[in-house]
Amino acid sequence: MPDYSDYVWSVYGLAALLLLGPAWVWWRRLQRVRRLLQAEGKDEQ
Amino acid sequence: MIKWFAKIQWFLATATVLSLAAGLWLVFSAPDDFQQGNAVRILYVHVPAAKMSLLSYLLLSLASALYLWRRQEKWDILAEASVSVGAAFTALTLLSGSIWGKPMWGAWWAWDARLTSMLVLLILFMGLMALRNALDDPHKAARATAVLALIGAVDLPIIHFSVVWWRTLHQPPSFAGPAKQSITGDLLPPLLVMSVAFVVLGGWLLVLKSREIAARRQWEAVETERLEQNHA
Repeated sequence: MPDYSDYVWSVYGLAALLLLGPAWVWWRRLQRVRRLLQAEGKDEQ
Repeated sequence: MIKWFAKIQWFLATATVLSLAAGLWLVFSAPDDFQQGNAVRILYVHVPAAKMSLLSYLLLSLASALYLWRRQEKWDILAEASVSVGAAFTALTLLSGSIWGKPMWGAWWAWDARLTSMLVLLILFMGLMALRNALDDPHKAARATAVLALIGAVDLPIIHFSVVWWRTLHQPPSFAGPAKQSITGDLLPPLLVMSVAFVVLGGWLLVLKSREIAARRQWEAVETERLEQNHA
């Protein structure tokens, strides 16, 4: 049976990139906007 | 709804880490498939991602219908978040399927009914993002994307039944309830736990994206208000 480890690790790496990458970007953006709102004396609604 | 999202976010993040850790442990301790070898481990990502793609579009359709009916912004926020989350899962489904297809089918891609209808789903998600960005009026953008999302929902039954209606290279469902199960017992626990982990992960991503959209819109309203005060 051939070893398909390269294919397997590619998929798991891709999954981390496609799912956790956007999560990281959204989290950074949320924190930035929350800081801007707080500077205006407003809370996240 | 958004305040409630902020409360459950950490619970969902913790549940995501724990369920993914359990799922990955099962995936890498499960035996290889006698035909696919260790390439079967690709399916523990591919199948849950595909289910989440469809679930995201179902949620998008529901939120769009509720927005058109009630005109409440919270449904539009949920719809916009579903598009982003759904696009990520659909892209992963197509790419992981392609990477599995090369060693198993001998081809990266085939114009098969299941693959093509999934590609249409990704195009729909991207089209919805483009349409929202193209329209300046947020109310018009919300209405237009809700209508397009509901029209696009016709793709969901096509995706689901494509392997039944047409002779496809893609296999029919392996697990459609205990009576129709064609997957061996050893391979089932990692698939089930990874499916649960992806649902929890999808929920966390949806909550995070919804909060980000709501905060951005709130900030845009503050800026608009300030501009109007400066003009007055």
